[in-house]
Amino acid sequence: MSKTFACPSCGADVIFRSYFTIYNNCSYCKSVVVKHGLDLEVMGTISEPPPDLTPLQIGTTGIYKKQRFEIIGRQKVGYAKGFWNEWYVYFENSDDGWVADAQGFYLFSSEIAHNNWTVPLESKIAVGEKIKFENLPYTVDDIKLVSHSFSSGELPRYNSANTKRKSVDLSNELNHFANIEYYEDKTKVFLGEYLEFDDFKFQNLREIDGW
Amino acid sequence: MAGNSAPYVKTFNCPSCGGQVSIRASGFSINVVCQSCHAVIDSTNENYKIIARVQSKKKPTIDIPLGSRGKLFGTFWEIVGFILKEDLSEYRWKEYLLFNPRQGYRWLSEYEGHWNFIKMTKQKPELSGDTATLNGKTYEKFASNTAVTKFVAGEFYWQIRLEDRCKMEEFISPPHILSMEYDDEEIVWSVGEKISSQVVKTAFKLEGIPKESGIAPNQVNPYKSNADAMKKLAYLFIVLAFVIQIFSIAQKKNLVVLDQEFTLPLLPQEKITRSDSFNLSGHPDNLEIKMFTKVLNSWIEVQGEVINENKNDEAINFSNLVEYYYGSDMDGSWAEGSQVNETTLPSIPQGTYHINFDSVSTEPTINPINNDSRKFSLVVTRSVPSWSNFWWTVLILMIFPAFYVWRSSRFENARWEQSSIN
Repeated sequence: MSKTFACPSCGADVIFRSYFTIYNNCSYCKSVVVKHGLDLEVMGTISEPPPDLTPLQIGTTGIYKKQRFEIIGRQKVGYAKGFWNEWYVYFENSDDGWVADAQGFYLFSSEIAHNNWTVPLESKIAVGEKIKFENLPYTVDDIKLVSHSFSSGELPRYNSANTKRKSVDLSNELNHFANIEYYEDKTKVFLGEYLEFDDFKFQNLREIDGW
Repeated sequence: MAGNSAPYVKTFNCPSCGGQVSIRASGFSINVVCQSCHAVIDSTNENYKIIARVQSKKKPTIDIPLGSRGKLFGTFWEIVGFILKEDLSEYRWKEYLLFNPRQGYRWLSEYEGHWNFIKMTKQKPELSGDTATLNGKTYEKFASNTAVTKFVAGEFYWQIRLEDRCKMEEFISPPHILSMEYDDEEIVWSVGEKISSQVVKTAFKLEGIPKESGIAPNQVNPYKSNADAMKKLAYLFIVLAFVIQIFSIAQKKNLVVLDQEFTLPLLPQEKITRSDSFNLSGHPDNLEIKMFTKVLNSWIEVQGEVINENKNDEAINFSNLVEYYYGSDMDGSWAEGSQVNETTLPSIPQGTYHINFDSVSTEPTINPINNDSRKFSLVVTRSVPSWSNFWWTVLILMIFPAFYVWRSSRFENARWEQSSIN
């Protein structure tokens, strides 16, 4: 159910495809717009995408659990030892989720509702710790302090360069993936799985020079 | 999906020597090594900080040049990184980092000419005792080691540190190998598969490749499949031989053609002349000559011949030794031998026969008074069931699998001799 807003900067149509979208770009004047209730606020203009060899792009379509999705937003995430891309995807049945490409690994995840008592406090979490989500045990693989270097398209969150976020990755014997995001004011939990690039049956991939 | 356009390569000047440094996997690599001075440079941002300046001056042979591309398992891979590693026993091996922007990263490792194609996995194998299980496949623990990074070239998607020590454990299920590398911060699992050096050579169009020597930990035992196939084949033939044996036994008539008693002469020189005549009919078949005696702590040996009366007295020789001893000692009573013994002659054609004794010898001290002990009888049976041919067949059939099982176990011994797990 897409909604159309007028760009506060140039008046052109800005289409919000996902109900959850907060961050968006005006495709005409390249303004970054952030939604507050029914209002859009301009937060500068979008920057050039960083030079990299990621094969995905906004507009790439794929399949997860027999449901077709389209990539509608991208956030490049950095940490002390590198980068990865988080791609916001929107399904034809209005579900949303994330496809991440990190050092050649691909995974799908989507946010789950959680009770505060199922997630350890940020200060208590440690590598190797076992946590149960939806009756399956997961082990903490790593804990990273992340920064946000580049955003484009539709995103269900607005992270500025100042946003502090601690990202905790967990996995288990079944190749399942879990992720806990500790923000200053909230905690989010995502569940999903590691998949091969070919599993997603991607279409409309980005052309990579020389490949 | 190789495009026509030139690959995007980001370049900058080495902050150490000023030489040009290029990044192939832009957006992936965070550490790059300068080709000229081998300095390790942080490429996460444009400050290009030097992480390590000095590397061993002795540059190892990089058998697959950085930047070369080859197709393996249906995908084009570019060699983007090279690491020389060494364990605490100073065994050295080489690791090549392979990159494809869509499929991600793989590794090729080379040790003594043996190559493994390796993929990292986020899936955690289940560990129990000395085994690890991943996707239903059980791997046996083969080695527990420490790997030290000795030399690096190219670019890497993680922070690479020279002389960095990493503990590792290897589990095998040929041709696969499962390795766990771990330090205080993380555990990395990867699955490797042994591939032939020819495959690597062809894929990357190499002119030369290190010669294979010795046995790789995850080398497939070439004798094992032969041994298994031979075993199956041998069992099949044994079953077949058994069926044939059962059929042939069912056709045996087991016909007694002569049952005659003789008495040993008092003097050994004297001959026992001949037996009664008997008739053999039907197809050529075996003939069992069974001797029943009453020897006690004594023996009788008969040398004789079966005479074919219809065929000009053609003779078939046979001999039969019967011995039986008994007594008692500290361990109780004992007995050895038997009072009965038989000889079987194969394939005797039909006709009228008798038996001639050439010599009958016995223990010289045999009691000449006891007539009973000097008596013996011959029972001649036509067409008796025999198992000896069957057992010979089984024995011969077992030679082939036994040979391969032996070779196979020799191979396994050689493999496990290199294992650091006892």
